[in-house]
Amino acid sequence: MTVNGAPTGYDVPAAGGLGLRHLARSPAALIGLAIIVFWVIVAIAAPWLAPHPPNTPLQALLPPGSETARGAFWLGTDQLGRDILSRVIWGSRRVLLYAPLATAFAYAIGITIGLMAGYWRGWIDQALSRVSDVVLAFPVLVLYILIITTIGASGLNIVIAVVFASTPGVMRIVRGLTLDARGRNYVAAAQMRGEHPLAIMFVEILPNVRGPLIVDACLRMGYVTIGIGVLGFLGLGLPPPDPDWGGMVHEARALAFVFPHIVLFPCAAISSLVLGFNLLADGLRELGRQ
Amino acid sequence: MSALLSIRDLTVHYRTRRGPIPAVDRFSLEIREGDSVGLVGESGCGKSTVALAIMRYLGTNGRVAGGQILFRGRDIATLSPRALRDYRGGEVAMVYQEPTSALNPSMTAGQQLAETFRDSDPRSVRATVREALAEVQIGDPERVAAAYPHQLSGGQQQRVVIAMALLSRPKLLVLDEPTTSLDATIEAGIIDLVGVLQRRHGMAVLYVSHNLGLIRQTCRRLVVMYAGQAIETGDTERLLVRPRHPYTAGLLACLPRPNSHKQRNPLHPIVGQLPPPHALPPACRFAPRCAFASPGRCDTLAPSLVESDAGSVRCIRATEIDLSIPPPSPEEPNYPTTNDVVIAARGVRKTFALPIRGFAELFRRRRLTANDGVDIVARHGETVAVVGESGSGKTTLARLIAGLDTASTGEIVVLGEDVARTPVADRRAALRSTLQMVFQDPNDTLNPSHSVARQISRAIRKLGSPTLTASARRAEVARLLSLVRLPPDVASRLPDQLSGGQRQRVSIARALAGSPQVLLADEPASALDVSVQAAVIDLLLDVQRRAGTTLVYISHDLAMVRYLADRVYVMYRGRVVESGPVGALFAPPYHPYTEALLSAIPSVDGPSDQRIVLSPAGQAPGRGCPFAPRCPRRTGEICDTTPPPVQCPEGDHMFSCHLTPDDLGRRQAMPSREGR
Amino acid sequence: MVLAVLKRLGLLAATMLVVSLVVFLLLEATPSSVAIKVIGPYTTAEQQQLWLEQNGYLRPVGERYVEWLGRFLTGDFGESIRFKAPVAEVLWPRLWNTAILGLTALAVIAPCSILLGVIAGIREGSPADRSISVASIVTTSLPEFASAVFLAGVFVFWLAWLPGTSSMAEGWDWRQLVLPVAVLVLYDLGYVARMTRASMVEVMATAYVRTAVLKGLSRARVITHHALRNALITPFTVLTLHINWLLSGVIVVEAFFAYKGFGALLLEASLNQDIYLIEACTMVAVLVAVATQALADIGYRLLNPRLRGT
Ligand SMILES: Nc1ncnc2c1ncn2[C@@H]1O[C@H](COP(=O)(O)OP(=O)(O)O)[C@@H](O)[C@H]1O
Ligand code: SF4
Ligand code: SF4
Ligand SMILES: [Mg+2]
Repeated sequence: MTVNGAPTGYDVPAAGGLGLRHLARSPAALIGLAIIVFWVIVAIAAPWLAPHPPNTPLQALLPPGSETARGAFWLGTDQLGRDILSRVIWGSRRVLLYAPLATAFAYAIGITIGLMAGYWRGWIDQALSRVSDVVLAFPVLVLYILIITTIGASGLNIVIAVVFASTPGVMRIVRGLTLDARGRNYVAAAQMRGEHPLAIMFVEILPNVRGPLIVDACLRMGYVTIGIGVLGFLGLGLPPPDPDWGGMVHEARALAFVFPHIVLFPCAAISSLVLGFNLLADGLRELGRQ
Repeated sequence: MSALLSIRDLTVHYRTRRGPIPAVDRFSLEIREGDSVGLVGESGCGKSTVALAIMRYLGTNGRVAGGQILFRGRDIATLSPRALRDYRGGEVAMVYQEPTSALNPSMTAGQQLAETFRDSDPRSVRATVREALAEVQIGDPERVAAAYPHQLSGGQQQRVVIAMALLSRPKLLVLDEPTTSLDATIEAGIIDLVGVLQRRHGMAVLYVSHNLGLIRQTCRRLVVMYAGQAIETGDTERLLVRPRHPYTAGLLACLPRPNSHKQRNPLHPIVGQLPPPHALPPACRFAPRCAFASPGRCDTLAPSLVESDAGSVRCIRATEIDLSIPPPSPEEPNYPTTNDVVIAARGVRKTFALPIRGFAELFRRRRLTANDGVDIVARHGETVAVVGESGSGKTTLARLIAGLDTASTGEIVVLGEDVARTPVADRRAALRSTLQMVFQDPNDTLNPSHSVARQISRAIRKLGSPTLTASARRAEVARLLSLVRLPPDVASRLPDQLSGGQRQRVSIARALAGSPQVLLADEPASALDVSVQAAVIDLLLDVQRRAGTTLVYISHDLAMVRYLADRVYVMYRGRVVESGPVGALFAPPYHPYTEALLSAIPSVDGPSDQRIVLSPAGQAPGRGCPFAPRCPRRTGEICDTTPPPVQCPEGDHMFSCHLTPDDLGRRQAMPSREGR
Repeated sequence: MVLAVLKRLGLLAATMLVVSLVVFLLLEATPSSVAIKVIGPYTTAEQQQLWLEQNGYLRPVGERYVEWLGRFLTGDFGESIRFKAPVAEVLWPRLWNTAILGLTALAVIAPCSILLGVIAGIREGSPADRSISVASIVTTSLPEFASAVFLAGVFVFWLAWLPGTSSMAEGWDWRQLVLPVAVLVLYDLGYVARMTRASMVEVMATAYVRTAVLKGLSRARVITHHALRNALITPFTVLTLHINWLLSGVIVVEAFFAYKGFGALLLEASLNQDIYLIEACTMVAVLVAVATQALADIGYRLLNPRLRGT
C-alpha cells in the first residue's frame, strides 16, 4: 500500500518463480539439488551400482582399507560380513521411497484442510486448529513411538505415522498463508465474479502461497528423512534384513566404538541427504526473498 | 547567505542482480541556511535516494558513484564515524514517510526521545522530552511520552518523529513524503507545524514529495526530478505558473483545478510511464512520453541542464515550445444520464465484533459500528462520490453494496432487488455482472500467479459470455484491453511485469467484462502517481461516457471528487453528514466537517492560508453530533447532547448540524479564525 | 493480560485432556490386546479372560477412561510390566536424569545460539554471517544418531578422551555427560541460531533501526537498544518451543549412550509393550511440551508491548 515508495515492479521475479533458471542464482540451492539428484540416481540404479548383493554374508568385519577389503569392499563389511557399500546403496531406496511418499500425502491433506480453515474460518477453522494443536502437542518422536507401538512397524505404518505427525504442521502454514491471501483484492475480485469457493482456494490462493510451501516441503523432507532414520535407529523401523540407513546403525550399535566404520557410512549417507534438502530449502528461501 | 548544503554532480548506483543501476545521475542542488526547497517527481525517479545520500545512508547496496555532497564546505564522504554521528544527529535530521515503522515498537515515545541527548539527570531529561513534545503541538505530552508507538495515531507518531528530529536543533531538516500516509486534515496540521518550526528555528528544509500542492505551500524553491536527473529548477511560484519543461507542465496538467469539472476541462495525463533505470532512453529521458519531442534531435542529443535567471531546465526545445496549459476543450463531453435509480441504500448499518479484552467482554462483545444508518442513492449514468477520512466507513459501504460483506440492518436495493443480506456468492449471476468493483491497491488487485489474459478471460466466462469459443474469447480480451488503452501484448504478461497504472487498467478491463451498469471504485487512483492517476480517472470517465455506467467513486481526495463527481456524500464516523450535488456541496454553506476537509486540500492555485486544522479524532461521543469533539464551529452544549437535525439549504443538498444554513453561510463567508 | 494467561492455561488443560483420551484409546481401547501385553502372549484365552475380569476391563470404555484418568491425576500410574514396580517409582528418577541432561544442553544452546545468530544477523552477507550460516545448516542436517556416531568416532574411538557410554554405572561422572550434551547441542544450536539470525536481519532492515542510526546513535547503542530488544523476542519463543524437539532428541541420545533417562525408558517401554509405562511417559512428555508452549505464548505477550495490554 505504500504510495510512493512502492516498488516499481521492474525487478521482481514472477511470483514464486522457482524454475531452474532462478536456481542457478543460488549456489546453496544448486549444491542441495545436486546432492538430492545424486541419491535419487543411486537409488534408481542400485542394482547396477552395488558391487555385491546387500544381504549376503561374505566376510565379517573388514574395515575399509584393510588388506582383504581393498578393491573388493570399498567401505568394508559389517558384523554379518555383508558389503557396507552395497547396503548403503540399496538403503537409499527405502528412504527415498518413504520420505517423499509420506511428505506428499501430508501435503495433500494439509493443503486441503489448511485452505479450508483459512478461507472459511469460523467453526471449521476452530475445529481443525484444535485437532492440530493436540497432535502438535506431542514431541514428534514420542508420537512416532506411540503410533508404531500401537500399529506395528511396517512401511505403510511408517508412512501413516509420518503423515499423521506432519499434516498438522502443513495445515498450520497453509492456513496462515491463506488467512493473509484471502484479504487480497484479487480474492475479492474472484468472489465478485462468482467463483466457487473451492476454485478460489485452489486456483486463486494456492498458486500464490506456493513459494513458502515449496521451501517448507524441502525442510520437511529433511525432517522426515531424519525421522525415518531415527525410527530405524531405535529399532522401530522396517524389519531386517533389507538395508535401511537407520537400521544399519541400530544393528551395529554395540560395535560402534570398536568398528566405527560399520555405522559411519550409513550415518554419512543420511546426513548428506538431509543436508541436500536443507541447502535446497535455504537457497530457495533466499531466492524468494530477493 | 552561504550554501549550507551543496550537492555537486551526485551519481548514485544501486547494486542489483542486473548489475548497477543509476538511480541518481549527476544531480546538483544547493540549499542555503533557512531555505526551503522542494524535490518532486514520480515515484522511482530518485528523490528518496537523494535524501538518503544526504544522510550518507544508502543501505548495503547503494553507492555514491560520483560527485560529492558538501555540508558547510565539508565533504560528508570524508567524515569519520564519530563526526558522521554528530552530523546525522546534530546538523541534519530526517523524517520519512511511514511514521508507524519509523518508531521502535518496543520503546515508549519518551524513551526514544530521551536517548538522543547525553544528559544524565533524569529530571531534566524528562523536562526536555516534555518540552519537545509540546513544541510539536502535542496536547498531552505526559501521556504521549509514556505511550508505545502503537498506542498513538499516525499524526501523533509523525509529530513524535519530528520532535525527535528537532531535538538537536538541526540546521537542515529532510522530510521524505512525511504526510503521504496521513489524512488530508492531519496532513494540514503537520505541514503547518513544519512551517512554524522552520521559521522559529531558522532551519533549512528539504521537502521531498510527489504532491505539487503541498510543495507550493511549503517551499520557496523547487527541483523537479525525472528518471534520476533534475529536469527543472526554479522559484516555486514561477515554476508552477510558467513551467518550462514539458514534464513539469505535464504534471500540472494532470491535476484537477478548483474550478475545473469533467464536463468542461478534461485532465491531460502524461502518456506512458517512467522508464526503468536499467533501460533509460539514450538521449532525453523524457522523450518517449514527450508531446514536444522532435525526432532526430530529442532522441540523439542528451539535453543538459541550462541555467538562466528563472532557474534551470533540461530540454533542448525549452525556448521554442509553448507550454501554456491547454485551453478547455471546445466540445462538451456528454455524459448520458437518466433519473432511474440504480442503487438505493437506506439505513445501512454494519457492526464488527472487536477482540475480547476483559472479563466483562466475554459476555458482551464490544462492537465497532462501521456504518451507522447510511442512506445513499445513485442514478443511472451519474458519478456519486463518497468522501471522508480513513476509517469513516467508505470502504465498508462499498463492500456491503458489492456483497463482499453483508449489512447488519438496513436495505440496499440494487436494480430493484434488496441485497443487503445477500453475499455476492448468492446473488443472481446477472446482478453480479451488473455490479462490479475496482479496488484501491494496484499491488494485489490482480492475481500475481495468472497472466492478464487468463484473468480477463475468466471474468468473461463468469460475467459476460460463458459460451464463447477460445478464439472469440481471445478477441474479447483484446477488445477489453484496447478499451482500457493497453496494447494487446499485455495479455500474455504477469502482473509483476506491469506498472501500477497498467495493473489498475487491467483491473478495470476485468470489471468491464460483463458490461456492468454500476462500477464501484474504491480509491482506484490514490496509490498511483499523479500522471498515472489522471490517466486512470480519464479512463473511468471514458467508460462512463460510452456506456452510461453509474460510477460510485470512493475517495479522500476532494480535489478529484470536485472534478469528477455529480453528487457527493460526506461520511464521518459511519454516518453521512452531508450530501448533495457537487456544485452546492463545494460552496458555502457547508457542514463544518466538509468545510475542514475542503480547506485542507493542498492546492497549486490560490491562497492557502485559510486551512482549518482538525485535532485527531478522539473518543466518540455517546449522543449528540459525532463531530462535536473536533468541530471548529461547535455552538455549545447542544452539540454534545442532542443529535443534530437535518438541514436542507436547497434542492437535495442536505447536512446534519445544529447550525442552520444561514448561520453557517454567514460564518463561512469570513476566513476562519482557526487557520493560522 | 490476566485473561489471556487464564485462557492459555485453560487451553493447556483442555489439550492435556484430549491427549489423555487419545493415549488411552490408542493403548487400552481393545481390552484383549491389553491382556496379551500385560500377562504375555503365551497365555490361554481363559487366563486372559480371567485377568480382564479381575482388573475391571470388561466395563465400557468410557467408564474405564474416567477411572483411569482419576487414578492418573492422583499420581497412580499403575504397575510397570517390565520393571515389576509402580510406574511412578521407575519414572521419577529417570525424569530427574533427563532433566539434568536437557537443562545442561539448553544452558549451552541458549547463549551460544543467540550470540551466533546475532553476530551473523548484524550484517547480512558478512564473512561471519556466511560461516555461521553454513555451519548451522550442516549441523542441523546431522540426525542425532549420526552426530553421535561421528563424535563417538572421534572422541571415543580415535582420541579415546571420553567414555562411549553414559550409564553412570560407577556413580555420577560428568565426563559421561559430555557427549550426550554435545550431540543435543550440535543438532539444536544451528536451528535456533538460524532463527535468531533471520529475526536479527529483519530487524536490522527496519525503518526504526534506520531512524536510530540517523539520530546519530552509536552502532553499539543501535544494536543493543533498538535491534536486540525486538530481535530477541523470536529466539525466546523458538527456544521455549524447542523444548518439544529436545524431548525427541533425548530419546535418541539416551538410547545411543545408554544414559539412564526418561527417553530411554520410553523406548524400552515401547519395545517391551509396557503399556502403563508408555502411558505415563507419553503424558509426562506431552505435559512438558504443552507447558513450555504455554510459557512461550505468555512470554511472547509479555515481551511484546503491542500485546501486553490486551
Ligand atoms: N535499495 C535499493 N536497491 C535497488 N534499487 C533501488 C533501491 N532503492 C531505490 N532503488 C531504485 O532506485 C530508483 C530511485 O528510487 P527512489 O530514490 O526511491 O525514488 P523516489 O524516492 O523518487 O520514489 C528506483 O528505480 C528504485 O527502484
Ligand atoms: S528535450 Fe525534447 S523530448 Fe526532451 S523534454 Fe525537451 S522537447 Fe521533450
Ligand atoms: S452539530 Fe455542532 S458539533 Fe456537529 S457539526 Fe454542527 S456545529 Fe459542529
Ligand atoms: Mg520515495
